[in-house]
Formats: sequence, C-alpha cells, structure tokens
Amino acid sequence: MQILKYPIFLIAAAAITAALVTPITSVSNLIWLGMSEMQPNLFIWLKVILFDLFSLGLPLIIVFAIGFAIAFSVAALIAKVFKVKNAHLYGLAGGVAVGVALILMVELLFKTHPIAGNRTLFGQTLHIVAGYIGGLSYFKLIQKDFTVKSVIRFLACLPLILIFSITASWIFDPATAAESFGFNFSEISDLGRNTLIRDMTAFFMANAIFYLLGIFTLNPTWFFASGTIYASAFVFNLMAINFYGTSQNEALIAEAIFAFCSFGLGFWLFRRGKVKN
Amino acid sequence: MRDLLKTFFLLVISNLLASAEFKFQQIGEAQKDPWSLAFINQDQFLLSDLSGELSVISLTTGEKLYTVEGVPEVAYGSQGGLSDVKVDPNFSDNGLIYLSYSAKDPEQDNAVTLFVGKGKLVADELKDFSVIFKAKAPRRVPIHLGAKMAFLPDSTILIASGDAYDKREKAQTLDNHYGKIVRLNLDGSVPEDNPFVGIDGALPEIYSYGHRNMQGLLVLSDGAIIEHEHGPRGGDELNIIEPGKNYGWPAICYCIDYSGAQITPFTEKEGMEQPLKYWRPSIAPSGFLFYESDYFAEWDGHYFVSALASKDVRKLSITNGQVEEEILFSDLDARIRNIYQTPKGSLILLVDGPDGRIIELTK
Repeated sequence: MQILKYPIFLIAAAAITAALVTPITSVSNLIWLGMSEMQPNLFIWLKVILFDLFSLGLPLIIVFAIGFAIAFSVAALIAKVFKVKNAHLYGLAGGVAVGVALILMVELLFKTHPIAGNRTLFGQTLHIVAGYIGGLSYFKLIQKDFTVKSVIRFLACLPLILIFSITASWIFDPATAAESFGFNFSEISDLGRNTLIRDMTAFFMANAIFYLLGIFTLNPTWFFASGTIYASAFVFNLMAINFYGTSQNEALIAEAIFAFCSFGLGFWLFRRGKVKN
Repeated sequence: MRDLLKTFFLLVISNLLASAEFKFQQIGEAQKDPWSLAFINQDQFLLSDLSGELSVISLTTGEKLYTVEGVPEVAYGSQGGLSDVKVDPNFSDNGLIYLSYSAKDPEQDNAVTLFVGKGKLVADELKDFSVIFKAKAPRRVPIHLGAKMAFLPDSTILIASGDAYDKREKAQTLDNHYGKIVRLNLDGSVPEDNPFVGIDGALPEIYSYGHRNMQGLLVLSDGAIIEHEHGPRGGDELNIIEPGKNYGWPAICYCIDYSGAQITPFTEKEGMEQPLKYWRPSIAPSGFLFYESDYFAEWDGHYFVSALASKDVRKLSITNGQVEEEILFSDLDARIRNIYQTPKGSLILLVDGPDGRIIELTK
C-alpha cells in the first residue's frame, strides 16, 4: 500500500502546481483587458479562472506530472546518496521541472509561448515558484503514512473534479453547458432557461456536495446517495430511449460510470465498517 | 512509389467525382511547399514556394519552364518564407510583380519580419527589385505573418501583416504593424487619404487593425474588401474591411487559446467590428477566391475559401450580410493552401507542403 503513495502524491503535487500556475495566465489576460478599457467584473474573473482551471489546468497536470516524475526521482536519488532529507531539495526539483517544461513547450511548439502567462520574466518566475511549492507539497505528503482511507479519498476526488467542473460550467457558462447536453439555449423560453439552469446546477452541485461529504466523513451513505441519483438517471435514460424514441447518447455511459464509482466507493467503505477518520 | 500512390489516389477521386461533372488532374511534379500563384499570361503562371523559389509553370503541360533569378533571400521555416506573389494590374505593359516574404531585418535587431517588394520580370530574371514595405513587427521566428496582398482599384495595394502570435495585444495599438492591414501606393509611399494619416502615435500606413493571422484578402470590382483570418481554437473570421475600423483581436473573439485558456470572455464591444461569419471549430482558412466565369456557370458569383485544418473548400454565398456555406472537395483529404481561377475558368488548388501538389479542377 505504501508504494502507492508516491504516484498518487506526485499527481496531487502536479495538481497543486497546475492550480497555482493556471490563474497566472487567466490573470495576465484579464489584466490586459482591464487596461484596454474592458474591465471584467468579479463574476467574469471567477468565470475565466474556473474555466481555465479545467480547460488549461487539467492538461497541465499531465505535463507537470511527467516533469515531476523525473525531477523527484533525481531528488530522491540525491537525498539517498547524500543522506539529506530536505523539503527544499524537492522544492528545487519541482521548480526546475516546471521551468524545463515551459522551455520545452516554447522550443518544441514553433518557438512561441503557448502559455500566455509565461511570456514575461515575472510570469516565468511565478510559474517556477509554483513548481517549487509543488515540490514542497510532495515532500510533505510523502512523509505521511498511506492508508486505505487515503486511497478511497484520492479515488473519490477524480469523479468529484469532473462533477464540479460540470457544476461550474452550469453556473458560469450555462449556454455552453446546455449545448453540450443537446439544448439550443437561445431558442428556449425564459422560464425554460431558468428551469434548466436551476435544476441542472442543483443536480450537479448536490452530487458534488455528496462526494465532498463522503470524502471528509468517509461515511458510505453519501456515496450511496450520489450513486442512487446516477443509477436513476441511467434507468430513466434507458426509459427515454426505449419508450419515447430518443436516440442513444453518451450521457448513458457517463451515468453508468458515475453510478458504478459511487456505489463501488460506498460498498468498499461499508464492507470495511466504519473507517476511523 | 509515393508518386504512384498519389496518381492512383487522384484517379480514384476523379472517378468518384465524375458524376459531379468535374475532374481533378495534377499539374506537373510534386512541389516542396507551394504557397501562391499568379498568371502572367493565358497559359503560364508564377508559383511561389515558401522555400524561396519562384518558378514559372505551364498550365497546359505542367512543365516548369524556368526558375526566376533575383528573388530576395527569405527566412524560410515554420510559417515563413516566400509567400504571396501578385502581378501588377498593368503587368502586360510594365512587367512588374510584387512579392511578400519573411526575412531578417538588420534595422530591427536582425529579427524576422514581413517584407513586400516589387521588381520587373524580364525573361527569367527579376530586375530592379526594391522593398516597398517592411513591417514594424519583429518576431523571433517567422510565424503569423499574414503576408497576403491585394490591389485596390485606385492603384494602391493592401498588405496583411499578422500578429506574430506572441505579440497579439499589440494588434490593438497603432504604433506597430502587428495584426494590421496596411495600404500603400504602389511605390511604397503612404496615400494621403489613409485613415490614420496625421494622427499622433499612429503609423500612417495602417488601414484597419485588430487582426490576427490574415490568410485571405479579396478586393471586389466595386472596391469592397473582404478578408478572412485564423483564430486559435475557434474564431476563424470572415470580415468586411473598412478603413480605420478595429476588428477586435484579441479583445473580442469567438475562441479560446491553443492551451485551452480563455483569451477573452468577451465576444463583442462597441467600436469593434463583428465578423460577417466565424468558424467554430476552426477550419484554418487559407486561400480566398471570388469566382467569375461561365466555365462552372453554377459557381459564378460565389466565394471560395480553401482550408487547411478541415481539408476542404468552402463555397460561400453572401447575401445581405447572411453567409451560406457549402463544403466541397473534402474527398481530397488534403490541406489546401490556396485556390485560384485560371484564365479559362477552371480552378487550381494548391495542396500544402511538404507533399505539395498543384491540382486543376476542370469539367
């Protein structure tokens, strides 16, 4: 079980770094707009940062995880050879990994800066600092014992991120969210739009909260609650297809996966009895 | 082997499309990186290759007749090199041709920028070549140059100068040539009626601004200007160009960045022009043609936009600001760099390098 903590905490460190790095690009774009007499309000700031966290941040986790895997392995080797146990060694490794990743992105992609926040020296410094914090986080995390409850919490975080991203899109960009569910938003009546936004947001928000509560309390009931909702959606999706002639859709698969994950986590916790938090 | 496969592929496509009453045939040999062409008479055309070669090719035989000497040295790589070629509206009298290209500029720290020059084509040589425009838009690598040209009926020339990718915000300021369409007299001087002449801090040659990477520039017989440009992920635009207008990039856009980040949450703003049409997802529009011929009578009066990403050609009809679109030639499955009409009315498609080809579409 202990061996599992290294890849899982490496991904966690990459996620922390991506979460710190992404707003640099969002803020640099928004500041420029503000200087161009297009001052975004607070709602737009939140909307852009959240959008970027999922649209840019998630791919960056993969990039940083690859960089960290190499950098932290080297750091671990140095720590073993020189018998040092220093958080700053991992911080330095994280900073170097992010710096190298950014340089490679520029050199391999037409010598341009695909990450807009990385176009200035100040922005580059902030990125490297974020990598440093990622390295420190990794060091702190691997000092901890790794238990089954850590695995369950980690696994539950994966669907939570997806559910939360869908919730955020319904809050901040309902037109696009509705489009992805097959609605032509502009052609729906005012009342219809209102119903769609409030019900869909509530549906996903409630599920996100169930997952959060499940992660914090490790009480299987919360996962069963979420699983019941998704299983119901799956059943009624089948009903719509077979009794009302709607076509097959990808949501059916997503509902099945979410129901399976939720019930799976719930049963795992249930079988283990009450896991002490 | 590769040539055999291509020939076989073209034969298959020709047969498939036989019922559509047109056929494809490859003209001449494979090309390195063809970018633009211009007819110098009923049969011969100049072909610019991004690598820096300018050649004259016969339409009927496909034979490369000669390579033009005296072409300026270019910065070839990425999206840059020898780009657009245009013949002077009075070419039959004066023999002048215009070239746009990317090259290093010693006056701008040896950075790459867009140049436009003209010279006289005498036999197989370009003589008295002189630079008429050098963009104040230096960049590290030849990327997002625009580099399209079009003549206006008043004996001036429009030049599209792209935003250099990393300098996108500069498309909104008038002290540079990033993301601008400029208008010049044919000798390179600035027309007195340009919209920013005499305005402090503005370069007088600027005609419109707020552009990204313009890849299509058309002037109709009535002087109307239509342009298309690449967005990043989404947001390719078709615009009607008017003097002094701001086309919004990167302050407004129907797009997100290649990285996935949102460049701007805004799609409209007072004082910034809306596109006539935008493409989301991107098609990467390349060439632009207004077809005028009885050869394909049903296409007379339509616009054709070749596309790199979607690997097809879009036939557009524009009526009262409404654009209708039809997708053509997607069976070719080729990145089409440019589209032209021959003097007889057939169409020529330039297929993008490195497996570049010239394909003629006839009845």
